[in-house]
This record gives sequence, C-alpha cells and structure tokens, in this order.
Amino acid sequence: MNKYKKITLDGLIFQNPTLMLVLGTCPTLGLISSAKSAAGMGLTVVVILTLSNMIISALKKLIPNEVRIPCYIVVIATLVTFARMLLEKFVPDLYDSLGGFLALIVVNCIILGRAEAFANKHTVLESAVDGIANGLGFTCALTVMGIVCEFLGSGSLFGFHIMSFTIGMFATPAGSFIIYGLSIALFTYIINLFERNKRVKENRLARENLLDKEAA
Amino acid sequence: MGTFIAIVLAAVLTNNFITVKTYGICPFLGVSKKTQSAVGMGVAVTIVMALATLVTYPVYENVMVPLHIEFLEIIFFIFIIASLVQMLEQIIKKLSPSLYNTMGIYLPLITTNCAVLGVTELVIGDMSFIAAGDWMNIGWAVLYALFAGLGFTLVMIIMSGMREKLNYYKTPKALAGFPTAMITASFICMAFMVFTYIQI
Amino acid sequence: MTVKQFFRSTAFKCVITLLAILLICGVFLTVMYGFLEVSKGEKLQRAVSKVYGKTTVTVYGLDSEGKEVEINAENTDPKSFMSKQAELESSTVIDMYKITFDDKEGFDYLLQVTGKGGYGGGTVTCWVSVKMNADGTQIAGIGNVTVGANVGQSFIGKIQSSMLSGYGEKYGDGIVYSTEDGFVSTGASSSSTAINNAVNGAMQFVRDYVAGGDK
Repeated sequence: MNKYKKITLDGLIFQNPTLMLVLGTCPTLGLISSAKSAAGMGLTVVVILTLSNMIISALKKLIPNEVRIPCYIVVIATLVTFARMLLEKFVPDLYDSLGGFLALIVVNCIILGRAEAFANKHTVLESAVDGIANGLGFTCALTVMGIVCEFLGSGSLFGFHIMSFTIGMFATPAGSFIIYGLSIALFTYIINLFERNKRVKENRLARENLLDKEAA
Repeated sequence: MGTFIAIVLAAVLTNNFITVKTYGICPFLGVSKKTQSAVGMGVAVTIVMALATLVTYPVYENVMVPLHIEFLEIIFFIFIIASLVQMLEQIIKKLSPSLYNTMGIYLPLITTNCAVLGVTELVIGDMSFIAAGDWMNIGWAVLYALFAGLGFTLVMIIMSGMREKLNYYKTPKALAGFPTAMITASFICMAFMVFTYIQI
Repeated sequence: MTVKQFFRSTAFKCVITLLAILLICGVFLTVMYGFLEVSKGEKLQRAVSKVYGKTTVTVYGLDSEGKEVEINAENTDPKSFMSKQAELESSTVIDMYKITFDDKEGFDYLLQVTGKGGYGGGTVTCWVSVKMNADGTQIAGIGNVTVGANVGQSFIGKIQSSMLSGYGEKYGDGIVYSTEDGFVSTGASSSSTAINNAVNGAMQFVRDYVAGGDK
C-alpha cells in the first residue's frame, strides 16, 4: 500500500508533470484560455495515459529493446486516433474546442516519458496507478490555470459570464505564458516550503532522539 | 504572387508557430539559452518541417484520401516523420560531421516535436485564411512549412538574445529558470500581437 | 548468416514485432471506424438541430438533375444546392440547403458561410438561416445564426447571443449589417466583423440566386 501511495503522491504533487517537470507544455499553453477545453484535454490525457501505460507494461517482455520507441509511438497513436473518433462521435463540442491539439497528444512528452521511464519497468497495476496519478496532476494543474486565465481574460467561468471587467491579454498566448510561469513559480515555492518544514521537523526529531539516547 | 505574400506573412508573423499557435514550445524553452544552439535547433526544425510536408502531403492526398483511410493519418504521419528524421541524421553524420555538430544533435529531439506534426496536420486541413478556393498543392504546402520553420527560428533567436542578457541579472529564487523564461516569452508574444492586425 | 540464424536474430524479431503491432492497431482502428464514423449527413443534421433547436424540420438538397431531394441522417453524401463554393467580396458561401417546417408554411434557405476579416486575418464560419416569403421570391427576414468553426479567433467566446439574435430582430429590407450600426460584441470587434460579413454574404447570395443566377 505504501508503494501505491508514493506513486500517487509523486504523480500528483511532488513530480507534477506540468508544474514541476514542465513536460507537455504545448497543449497547456494553447488551451488554458478556456477552462472547459483545459479540463477536457486533461481528462482525455488521463484516459490515454492510463491505457497506454497498462498496454506497454503488459507488452514489455515482448517488445525488443531496439524498437521500443517506435512501438510505443504506434500504440499511443492508435489510442489517440481511437479517442479522436470517440470524441467526434459523442462529444462534438469538446472535439471542436480542442482543435488541433487532440492530434498532438501523440507527441506529448508526458505520455512517452512515463512509458519510457516507468511503464516498461513496473507491473500493469503500478503503471495504471502511475498513469492515473500523472494524468490527474496534469488535469488539476491545467484546470486551475484555465479557471484563472478564463476569469481574467473573458470574465467567465466554464462559459458562464460572471464579470464584465476583463483584461484582454489573458485570452491570448501572452497571458497564458504569464499565468503558466507564475504558477510554476508559486507551486515550486510552496513545495520547497513544505519540504523544508519536513526536513526541519525530521532534524529536530533526530536531535531529540540522540539527546534521549545520550541521557539514558 | 498574392498567395506567396499571404503565405509568408501568415507563416512567419500572423500565425507564428510559437507566439500565436503555441506549437513548438518544448525546444523553445529548452534550447534557447544560447544563440548558437538556438540557431542550430531552428535550422534543424525548418529542414525537418519542409521535408516532412514534402513526404506526408502527397501520401495523404494521393494514397489516403482515395482509399478513404484518412482516420489513420496520425499513425502514418508520425511513422513517416520518425523514419525521415532517423535517415536524415545518418545522412548528415556521414556527409558532413561539422554540420552534424552544429545541428544534427538536435534531430532526435525533433521527432516528438509538436511543431513538425502540427504543420503536417495543418496543411492538409482548412487553409482558407490565406486564400479562398482550391489553391493548395504540394508546392504551397512545402513553402508554408518552410516559412513556418523560419518564423520558429526567428522567435528562437529573439528569445535566446533576451535570455543571454538576463544571465547578467539576479532574479528572485522562486522565479529562476522556467518562470523567467515564460514571462520573457509572454512579452515576445505581446510584441507579435501587433502583426495580427495585418489584413491582406 | 544461415536462414535459421536470421530467423533468430534481433533484427528479425524487431521487424516482426513492429509489423505485428502495426497490423493489430490498423485492424482495430478500421473496425472502430466502421462503427464510429460521422458521415457528412450526420454533421449536417447536427448543424440543423443547433440552428433550429427542437422544431421539426425537413432538409432538402438538389440531386444531379436539379430536383429537390430530401436529406435525412442516413444520407452519407448529401448534395446541397451548390456544386461548388461561391466567392463573394468578403465571404465565401460553402453550402445551401432548403428547410421546410412541419407546423407552418414557408421555407428557409440554410447557408453555411465563411466570413472574412476576422481577428488576425482569420475567418469565422456560420450557419445562417434566411427566411423567405411565401412564393420564395424575396427575403422575409433572418432566422437563427450559429457560429461554427473559426480560424484563430481568440475572443470568439465573447460573441454575445444578443448580437446573434439581433440579426433577425433588426432586419429591414436592403439592410447591410455592420459594426458601426451596433452589430458588435464588446471586446471581439474583428470577429463581429467576420460574422457580419458572413450574414451579409448569405443575404447577397440568396438575392442573386432568386433573381435567376445559376449557381
């Protein structure tokens, strides 16, 4: 159980693919001007990432080492094409709002990176948990940034007009860059604070144990 | 002639791949620290984009559309791009080691680059923002890809110039690294927004 | 290398694995495409229901002899009233269909028009329904206008529904919609220009068509 908790926390917070490792930046910057398309892209990536991790982990003994990258890319491309067909048939609004970025999921560094770094060394269940955790980390980061950007840029929240005062820059890529940069800075700062507090607490506990041992 | 000017303006300025469409961001943030590597990456990306369009556009128009297998385009395209890049790397390594040292080392990084797959998917789609009617053929497609790559290189060079200067200044610890690069990029995007008012 | 050595070598295993994966994926996708394909007729039905909502309508196109033929969802290759796109000054008319209603007289022409002059030199594609009078010789008004695909329009989310319904409410004979007359959404003036161009182009095209042009 401990190992699954570590995988989940790593994927969600400490090694968040968008905010800590800065992977998969293309769909991030392109889609955070609207919170709905950001959330839609995030959920699509969760599904594709989990399935791709599971398939690659299941096939890891069959694929020779020399052709592993082309094989991974073919598997991911199949999943992306399948997802595109499903979205066009059942959720056409999301399909239109994602635009060209749906096809670009196949070259998203997150999916290929997790397949290369994790899925071909761990079991199917661990890879699935890792896929869900990383995908959810991506989705949460994207949705939060999307909400901020859409609120400042268009005064709306998931499409509902709330405010009339808008700063037009945030609906364009310039605003997306600023929000993304500031989010990385804020997130890294919070994580560093948290780790420093944890280190201080651990040092204090170790010192107290040492003093107790010396006293006893 | 009008189409040519429209393609140049659209690919380099109004629909720039980095500042307007946000396509090739990974190499943009990763390789733009020094001007020399930025130029090398930009040239490599331009060549790969032009070559990829040269091969994928005819394959799509003449093989996939008649056979009604357009839904397999992602697999076909990514396969073609990966093989092309591999071959190109071997050819450059054998033909000219000095050229390989300047830009060949970036070639494996370009296989999973949004910009290359993005431009191949763009030229087979709806290009009515340049000219109306049925004007698209392989020549214009390769030209568009070439100038899109040049636009990419232009923004990379601007960014690397700014980042090299920023090295001389102290930045707050939380904003060091990526956040500073992002804010710099956002100013470049703001500057490029001026060009969106160009009407042909 | 002997034949047996070749079959055991890594190169052969690599090629076989790659080909096997490609084959399985290709077969899987082809099978799925058979179930999940969205035909042109279905896309048309989706656009029609977006424009007309719950009103039951019948869509007509023209077949090769020039006779009106009904189009329903199973029709995989609906033929519109136009054999090719029509270029106007600031817009392009892509398709035109005739719409009749179950519960009232008269008919509409439903046009898919791309208006130029949007933000960043881009375009906005709209579905415009042009109401016709009883004998189909004159435009009687503008119905619903829905905004579809757009190229690079960053502020398309700001287009207000009051502007889109204003086309019908403020219709007058010979009107030309422009942003100066108030047909604009704040913060998205270029996209509004493109939509105005699209609606004007639709009206212009219908006028020419009814006057006897052979499109």
